[in-house]
Amino acid sequence: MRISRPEVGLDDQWDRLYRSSRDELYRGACLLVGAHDAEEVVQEAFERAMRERDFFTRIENPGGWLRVVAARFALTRLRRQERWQRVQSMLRPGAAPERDLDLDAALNRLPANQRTAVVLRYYHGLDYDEIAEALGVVAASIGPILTRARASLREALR
Amino acid sequence: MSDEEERDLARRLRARADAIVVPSVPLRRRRQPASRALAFAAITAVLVLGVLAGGALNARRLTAVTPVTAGSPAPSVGTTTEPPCPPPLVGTLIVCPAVAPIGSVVRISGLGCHTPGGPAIIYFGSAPQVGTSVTPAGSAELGRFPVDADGRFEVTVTLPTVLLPIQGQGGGAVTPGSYAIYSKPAELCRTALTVTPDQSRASPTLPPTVPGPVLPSGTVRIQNALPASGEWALILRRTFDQSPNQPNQASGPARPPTTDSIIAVPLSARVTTQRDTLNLLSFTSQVTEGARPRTDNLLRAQFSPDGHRLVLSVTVGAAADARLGLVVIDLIAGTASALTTDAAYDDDTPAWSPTGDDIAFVRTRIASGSFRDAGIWVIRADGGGLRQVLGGADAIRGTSVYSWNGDATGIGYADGLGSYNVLDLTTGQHARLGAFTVQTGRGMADWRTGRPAFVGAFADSPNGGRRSLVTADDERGGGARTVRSGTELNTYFAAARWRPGSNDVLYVELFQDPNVQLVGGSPAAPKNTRTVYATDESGRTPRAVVSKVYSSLFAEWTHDGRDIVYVDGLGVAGSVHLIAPDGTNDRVVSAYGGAPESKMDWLDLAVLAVYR
Repeated sequence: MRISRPEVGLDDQWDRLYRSSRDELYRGACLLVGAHDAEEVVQEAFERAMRERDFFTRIENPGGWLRVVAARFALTRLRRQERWQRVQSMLRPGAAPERDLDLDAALNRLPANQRTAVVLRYYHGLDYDEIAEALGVVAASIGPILTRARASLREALR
Repeated sequence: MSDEEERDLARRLRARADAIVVPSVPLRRRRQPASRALAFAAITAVLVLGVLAGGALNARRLTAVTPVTAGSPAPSVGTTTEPPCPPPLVGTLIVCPAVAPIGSVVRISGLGCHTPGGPAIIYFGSAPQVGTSVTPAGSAELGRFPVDADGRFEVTVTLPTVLLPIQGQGGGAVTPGSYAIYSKPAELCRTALTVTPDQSRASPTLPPTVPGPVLPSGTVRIQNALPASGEWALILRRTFDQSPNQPNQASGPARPPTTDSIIAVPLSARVTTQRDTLNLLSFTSQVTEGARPRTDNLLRAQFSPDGHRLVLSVTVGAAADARLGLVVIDLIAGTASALTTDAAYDDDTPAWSPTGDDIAFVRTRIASGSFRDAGIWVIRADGGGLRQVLGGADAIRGTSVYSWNGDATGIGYADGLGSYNVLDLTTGQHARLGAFTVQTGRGMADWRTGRPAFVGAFADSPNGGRRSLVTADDERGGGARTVRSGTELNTYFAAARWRPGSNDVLYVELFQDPNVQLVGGSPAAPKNTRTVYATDESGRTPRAVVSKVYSSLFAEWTHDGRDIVYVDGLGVAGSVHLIAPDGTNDRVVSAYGGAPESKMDWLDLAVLAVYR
C-alpha cells in the first residue's frame, strides 16, 4: 500500500492559514449565505484545499484561492435557495418590490451571482478575473454583473 | 455610476461584516477519502455518539460545525442578537415486532431551520457508546426529503434492514432494539423529530430468498447467443421498478432491486422495430439488502479484445449472504461461468486487459457486516493467477477500476477522492494523471497505443467549476494538454473516445438545467441537454454532432471510425442511431419500446463489439 504521507509541519501550515484567513472567510460567507451556513462553507473550502495535492507549493496565493473556493461553495447554496424561492414565487405571485431595506435584506434580494460578485468585489476586494473564476463565467461579464447589482442595491436601499 | 458609490458600498459591506462575530471553531481535520454521503455519516456519527453517551441532546460541543445563530427559512446574515441554535433533531424508535418490525414503514415529521429548498437528510442507526463495550449498530441514510417553505417536512419511509458501519464500527443486519433517527445537525435544528410507525401499511415484502447454487442458472439468465458475424451495438439497460429520480426511493433498502439486461442491435441493417434487436442476457447487479451500493458495469471496459466474451459484476449468492462476484459470459456460446468465488469479498468494476489475458477489478472486504476497500486485484481470464496489485485504501469503498491502458502495462483507476491514477504494473508504482478530478464515471477516459495515448474528460477546479478534455502521451501524464475547456455552470464533459485510426475525439457534454419548471404544481424533470461533440486532437475544431434534450445520450465510434453510433434514450423507450461525424446522415437503426409505465429504463451504451 502506498499512501503519501503529509510532510512534517504541514499541520502547522494549515493551522496558520486557518487562523489568518478564517475571520474574513467566515464574514464573507455570512454576507452570502447567512450565519447558519457560513461555518459549513468555510470548513468545506478548507477541506477542499486539503484535498489539493501540494497545496502550499502549487497555490501561489492560498488566501485568494480559499476566497474563490468558499465563494463557489456559497454560490452553490445560494442557487439552491434561489431555485426554491423561484418556485415559491411562482406559487405566490404578486409580491411587490420593496424599498428602504437594510443592507442584509437588499443583498438577500440580489440574484446569487450578483450577490456573490458584490461580496467578492467590495468586501474581499478581488479583481474581475478572480470573481470570474468563482462565478464560472468570463471576466468580461463581471463588469455588467456588478453594474446591475449596484443598480438593484441603489434602488433597494434608498 | 461613480467611484464614490463603489467606495460607499465597500464601506457599508465592511462595516456590516465587522459586526459579525466570528465563532471560535477549530479547523476540521482532513476527512478520510470517501464520498460526501460517508462524510455526512461521519459527522452524524459523532453527533449520535454524543447523544447516546451523554444522555442529552447537546450536539454543540460534539460537532465541529456549530451554527452560532438560529436560522430562519430565509437566508439571513448572522448577528449576536439572535438566540443560539437549539439541539439538533433526533428521534428514537424501538424496532421490535410489536411496535415497528424490521423493515417496516414509519412516518417521520419535523420542523427545521435549514436552508429553504435544501433537503432534510435523515439517518437511522446508532453509534458506539463511549466507555462501554456495547457494539454499535451502524447507520443508514433514510433519504433526502423536500421541506416546505415553513421548514416542515413529513415523509413515509421504509426502515432499512442493513446498516453501514460508522467509522469502521458496526454495520450489518438490523436487529430489534432502540435506534436513533436523526438529521445532519446544521440542516435541521428546531424541534425533535416525530417518528410514528405506520400501522396502516403492511410490512414490505422482503426480497425473496434465491435458492443456490446460483451460477450459471440463477445469477445470469442467458436468453440468446450473439451471432459471430456482423457489427453490433451492445447496450446495457437497467429497469427500475420505480423511478430512480423519486427521492423517497433514491437510496437505502426502500428501493427495489433493479434488473440489468444487455441487448444487441445490429448496425449493418436499418430496422425500425424490436424484431432484429437481440436480448442477450439479464442479471442483477445490486446486493438487495441495505445500503450497499450497486455495482457499476461499464461494458466497453469489460469486453475481451475479440469481443466474444464479457466480464460482469453481478449479484451472486442467496439473499442472506448475497455479494457481488465476477462472471464471464461467452456471448457466442451463450454460457456464463463464475470467475471469482471468494465469499469474503464484493468484486466490482472489472476491466479486461487489451491483451485478453487478464482482468483487473476492485475488491471490497465483507467482514461481519462491514465493508472495507481491499484494493485492486488481477486475475487471469481463465480464473488462475489471482493476485493483489494495489493495497486497499483506508477508506471504506473508494477505488474503482476504470480501464487498462493501451498496451496492458497499466491500470487506470479512480481513488476515493476522485483523482484519476494509473498503476504501473511493471514497477508497482502509481501516479495521479494531472491535477484533475473525475466527475462523470468510469467511461470518462479512453486509452490506446501510440501518442497521445490518453484522452479523458475531467473537472479541474474545485466544485467542478471548469471542465477539461485532456490528452496525454503516457501513463505518467507526460505531454498532458487541455484541448477543450469550459466554465459554464452545470455543464460537464463525459465519455471521451479516440476515433479509430485517427487523432479525432468524440465526447459528450452534459448540461443540467438549474431552472425548475412546474407542471401542474409539481417540479418537472430538469431540462437536461446532452450534446455529442467531435473534435480533432488540437481541440480547435469542436463540432456539435447531435444534441438532445430530456434524453440519455451515449455515443461511440463504429469499428471503422466512419460513423458515430448513439443511443437516444427517453425513459421508457429509446432508439439507436448512426450519424456521420460532421452531423449529417443521421439514421435510426433500431427503435425499441421500453418497460411498462410502472417501470423505468436506464440506458447505458457500453461498447460496440465488431465481428467480420
